[in-house]
Amino acid sequence: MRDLVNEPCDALGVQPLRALVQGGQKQVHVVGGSGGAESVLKLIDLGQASDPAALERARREVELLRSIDSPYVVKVRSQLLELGNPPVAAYWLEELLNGQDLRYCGAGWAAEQLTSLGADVARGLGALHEQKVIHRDLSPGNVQRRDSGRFVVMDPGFAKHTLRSGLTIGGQPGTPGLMTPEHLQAYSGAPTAASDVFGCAALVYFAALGQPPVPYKGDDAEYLRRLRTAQHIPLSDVRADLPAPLVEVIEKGLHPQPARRYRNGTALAQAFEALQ
Amino acid sequence: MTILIQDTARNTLIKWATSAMRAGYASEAYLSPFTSPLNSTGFKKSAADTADAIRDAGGEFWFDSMTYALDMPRAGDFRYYADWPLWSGAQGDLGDPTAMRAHVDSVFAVQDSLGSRRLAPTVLVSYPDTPKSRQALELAQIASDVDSGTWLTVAGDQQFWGAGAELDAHVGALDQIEPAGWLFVVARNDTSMPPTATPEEVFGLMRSTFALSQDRPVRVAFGDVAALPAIAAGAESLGTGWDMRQRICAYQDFEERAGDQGGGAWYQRPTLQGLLGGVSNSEYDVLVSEQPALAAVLAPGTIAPQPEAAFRHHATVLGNEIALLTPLSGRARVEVLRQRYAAALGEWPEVQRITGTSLGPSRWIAPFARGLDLFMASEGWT
Repeated sequence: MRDLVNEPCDALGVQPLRALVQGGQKQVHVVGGSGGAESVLKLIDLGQASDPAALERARREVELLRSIDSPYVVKVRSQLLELGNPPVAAYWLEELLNGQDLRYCGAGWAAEQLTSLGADVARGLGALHEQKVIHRDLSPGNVQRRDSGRFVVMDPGFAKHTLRSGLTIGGQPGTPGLMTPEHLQAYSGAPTAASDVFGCAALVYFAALGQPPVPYKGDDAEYLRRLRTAQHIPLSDVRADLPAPLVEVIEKGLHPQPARRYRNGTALAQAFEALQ
Repeated sequence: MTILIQDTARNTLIKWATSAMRAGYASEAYLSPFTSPLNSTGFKKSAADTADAIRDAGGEFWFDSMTYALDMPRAGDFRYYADWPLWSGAQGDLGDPTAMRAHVDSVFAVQDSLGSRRLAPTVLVSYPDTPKSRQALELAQIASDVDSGTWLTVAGDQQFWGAGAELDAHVGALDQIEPAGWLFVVARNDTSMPPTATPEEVFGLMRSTFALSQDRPVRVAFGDVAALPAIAAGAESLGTGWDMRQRICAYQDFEERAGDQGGGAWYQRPTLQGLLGGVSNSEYDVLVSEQPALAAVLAPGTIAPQPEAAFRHHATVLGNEIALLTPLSGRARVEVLRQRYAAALGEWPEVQRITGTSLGPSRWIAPFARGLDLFMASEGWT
């Protein structure tokens, strides 16, 4: 069995330091370069992948991230490389972001923090949307709050490069509890930039309350029924302390009709920025 | 913009449409390749002459390819259609992006040659989350890639417009294209007037109109009185005419037929403003005879018996309703139409008692008012 960590590190000229995610199809390790700079090694184990499109999906993820230069989207530091012939793994380097992802940042945030979160994530999404990329899987685990206070969007691994066709990853992937109404659609109504707007608003809602607007409670059918109409408790009902303009921005982002939301990340960012 | 005149199988489009434009009760005319020839015939003038005449009268001329009609069951009325240069390959072939692009280019070329604004072709969708709906989205995207300033048509049957969350998602995807404007079409499988609308269809049309009209104009082709809820939701104009087939987009009107230059039945039933609906000529005569004061309240002015005069009256009624709603927006706009429906409901029983008309408020008012109620409830306005 091949060494799926040391061989890639040797090829990239870095040293493995510690594992962040192990097991499953995707592994994540912190690695150190010759100058001491730390990066993140992301590795797709093709040997265990059930999806034959995994290599192409990873190649696309890396390619699209390399094309985006935004302080609000994680940066890729290498090309996608393959291990073995035929390849048994694919890997690349990303910048290591200090701080914590939103899962570990608590709830009940103040209005100012919520506005900053919304503005930063929306800016990152705006950078993706300008490249015709839809993230489609925003969740607390893939937004990092850096030590500086800036929020950065990570892991658009399920992103769909809408300018190109031919890659089907099957169904509409997403995180239960953080999907959008459009995740239920298989054809023309599938997720768009307005779906990412919903996802961003859902993250702000999550930071305000500690649970997403349409939480998953263990019953698929019941969850999908609520998700279909974005049925949720109005934020103003449970956070009466928040300013009405902020609540209006969040609720507009959560509208069940995508055409009633902000059209894309840039438009949403402008709405949050107007509150700052 | 208020009243759009749809194309007619008769040879009256130029004369009556230009009269309407000069008199100010219509603003635009749409020419269809299913209904009018490219070149002049012994019966109709050429498309170019028609376009010029409309513009000379101060109106706007549109060429609507109505590609979606090819998807209608038993579509076969191609007496003029085949002469139009709309397909470089097989008629109706939209099987891949290359074929879609070729058709878009052809439609735009015809529109350019006639001085029409660009209105992209589309397909007819029966359910908004299917391969067909994806084809409609792809065709719209291709048209927008060719010309980001194009208008887009959204054509669906009653099931499509009544589909709920699937409709919303489809419309949301179309909204990402950001065209110059929208033309909605409800395709129907019967030609009765008033159309057998469902509250769900009316609700869907209103939801879509309300969403898309926030930053783009929305118009409803073949809408007639059935489109008033969409006007209340933010649409700026509706299509109508003097024939049934100008007021309803029905499958039967695109079936193969022999001859029929007459355009089918005239639609001369007087439209009474106070009823938001109509009665037959004989019923109207009874009403005028038995209750002249009520007739005068419900339909101010004289309704002349000639077809063109009857259309003028009908278009004026529609224009009055639109003028009542247009200065308003949001909740106030919808509430005014709801009040108009409520007032009409109050008038209908007496009219029915006097005239014995078989078509009453259950057809002219109920489905539209219920659709309006569904929309108002969804907005939290009730």
